[in-house]
Amino acid sequence: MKRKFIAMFMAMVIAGGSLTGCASSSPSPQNSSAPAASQDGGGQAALPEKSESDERWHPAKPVTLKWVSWEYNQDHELQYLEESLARYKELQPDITIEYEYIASDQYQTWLQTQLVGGTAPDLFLVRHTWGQQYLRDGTVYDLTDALLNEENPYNPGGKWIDTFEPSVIVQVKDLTNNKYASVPTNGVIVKMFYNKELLAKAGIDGPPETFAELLSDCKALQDAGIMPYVVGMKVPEGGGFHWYERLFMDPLTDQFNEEMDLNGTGLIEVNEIARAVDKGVIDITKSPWKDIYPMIKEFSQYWHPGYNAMNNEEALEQFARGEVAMTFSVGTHAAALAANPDLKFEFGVTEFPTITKESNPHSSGIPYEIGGAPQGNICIPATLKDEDKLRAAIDFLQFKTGVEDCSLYVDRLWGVVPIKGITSDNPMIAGLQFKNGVSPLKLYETYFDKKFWDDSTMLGQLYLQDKLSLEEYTQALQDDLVTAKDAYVQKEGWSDENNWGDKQD
Amino acid sequence: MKLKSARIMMHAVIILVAFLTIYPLFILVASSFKTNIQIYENIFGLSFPLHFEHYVIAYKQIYSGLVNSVIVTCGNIVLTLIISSMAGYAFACFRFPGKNMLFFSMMMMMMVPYFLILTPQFIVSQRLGLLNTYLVQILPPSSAFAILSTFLITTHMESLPRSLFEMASIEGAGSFTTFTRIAIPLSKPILVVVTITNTISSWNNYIWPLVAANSREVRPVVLAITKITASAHQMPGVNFAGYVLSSIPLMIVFIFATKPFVEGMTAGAVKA
Repeated sequence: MKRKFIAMFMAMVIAGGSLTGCASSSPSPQNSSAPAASQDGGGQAALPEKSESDERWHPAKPVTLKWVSWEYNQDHELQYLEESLARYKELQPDITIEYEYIASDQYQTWLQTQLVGGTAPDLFLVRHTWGQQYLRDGTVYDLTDALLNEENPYNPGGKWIDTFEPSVIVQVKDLTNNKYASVPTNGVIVKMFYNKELLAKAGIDGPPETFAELLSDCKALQDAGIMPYVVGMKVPEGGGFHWYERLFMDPLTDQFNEEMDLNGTGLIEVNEIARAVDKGVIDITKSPWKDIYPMIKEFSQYWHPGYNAMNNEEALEQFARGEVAMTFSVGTHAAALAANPDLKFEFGVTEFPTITKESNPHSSGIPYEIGGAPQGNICIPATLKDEDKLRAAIDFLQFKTGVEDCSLYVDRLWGVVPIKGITSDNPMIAGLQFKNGVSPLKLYETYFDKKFWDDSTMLGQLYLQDKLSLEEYTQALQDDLVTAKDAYVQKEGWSDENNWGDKQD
Repeated sequence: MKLKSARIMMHAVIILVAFLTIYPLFILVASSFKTNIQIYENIFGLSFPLHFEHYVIAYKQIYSGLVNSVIVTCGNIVLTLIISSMAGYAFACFRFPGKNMLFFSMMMMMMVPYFLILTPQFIVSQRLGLLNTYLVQILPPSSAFAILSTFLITTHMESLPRSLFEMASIEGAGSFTTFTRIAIPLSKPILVVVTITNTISSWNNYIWPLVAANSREVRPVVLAITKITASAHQMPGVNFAGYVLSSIPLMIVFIFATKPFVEGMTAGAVKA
């Protein structure tokens, strides 16, 4: 009897233990489900008033905020961060910011667990589309009131919202409810990098300004035994290839923008793309939409042959070896490249050559740039109820989007920022800022349809290698677009009656 | 002659497999001494000068993680061995009501995808005030590790001769004495297997510490290596150096435990 009792006890110990949970080291799929709604009920905390004795608000007691991001992890980035936080400490001695880096691969899994558990840090980085979803779920603080009605004390002279580049901040706004869940603190721009020595070696004076010049320069480089260009087109990233799709398509399809832009923001967003597909405005099987692919194919004969196996970073590394004359890469990489003591050549940055009518009669000849998406978007969790901490969190966001910190960011990291009027005397940094309009059509982004996005690279690889005809390629892409549009119509109920879901003020 | 050529062929295959296994590790170690330009210029071999400072940079950033991982792994192993050996003994040697149901319900837990219970487990740990402690890295994972371990130990103990336990009982040994003096010593090979497999699982456990124990003071080395910082031209060499350093303790465990591990894996394979 006693033995039986011991046996039962032992077995129950382990069975009970097994029911409390499991852990494993298995890799995780991305958890795309949104976190559950806020645990602490509705209603946002009331914010304390600003101090009368100072332009800026100061907390009544010392406040410490935890800020988590996947952005700053290299020495030069951390150096900027240290300077930035030190400056903030001077301005706000009673606010301490504790920064923590979490790698991006499992960031969303980590974040969603923290939001559900109510243990999210006081400030955390999100993609702006995640933030919009989190606000709909009630797990993050609604920054709309602060943005629309407050002045940024670190960038005075108007409402906080008016200090942002309109093309950037409009993307942060959730058009389904006209609310802002996050504040963008930096941006992204993609530029053409060129090796000055290799161009000179091929007898080329400077970087090409038109696509026709690019092709002739590539030919000259090839004839001189120099690899002209490197592109990263690895599946599933495919980032590099999508940049070219956009660069070529934007000037060719300018003529349709007015018809497609329902809300007049200047950007053709998801619902507008769905509508354009429904109306037959976007049809990848027809000219001028399909014209981009033969142009890219002609260009691809000058690419480094490993483009199918390289991502954008690897393409840049090939360029950094000094054996390829040109590439197209994210502007902030220029700072790291210039600081690399192993770099054996001088490089320059410029805009991608314009697609002129000489290359395609449909082209508007308007140059566009890749970038302009809101980056460094920071949210505040809805669970942050302490008034001083909440006010401090907003104050920090205002500092991050103020003139001083944005200038520091541009100067140290050679990046772009989402606010107006930041310039640099350094010609290299100035070259890394926007010169032209931002690519308006958001078709070749992950936002619209992942299958279309993936197929355009995967099937694009086959097309560039003559394993798929242009007709087969563009038909497959058009099929993806129609399927995606139908799915949106069914899920969101978009139609002409509800203006395709657009609630823009 | 035919036998000789077959043997040469077999050796060639073995050498090829060994090469394919070892060479990627060599590339990792070699790359850990290179700057990023050196990696892209020569990925397959060593490049000079060797950058030993990568190891210094990495070590300074991960040594506390190494200590934390040793503590957490030891805790996991001890707890798992205690729970699963006792449960395995109970399942193997006793009859009691609901035994099969308990055993199978426990086994069924192995079929539940980990991500399904990640959030509930996190909330339970949070309510218990365990977040960012060593305990949160020991208790829930140990309960998971104990499932398979119990299954292995139960199976092993069931194969031990009944007569040994009966003789011990006749000699007056109680259940606990029989467990500690007979069952455990005879189960040494399987306990080594359990120890090694759980050491690997615990050392490499990433998601759970990421969400539940990410503070600087308690985070394990597997998280610490994701936060290694260095200048852009030193990356990913410094990262690789961190990977090499973080795997050294596991290699040491393997060096000392390979023989009993193989014995454990083959225990019962050949009848005497």
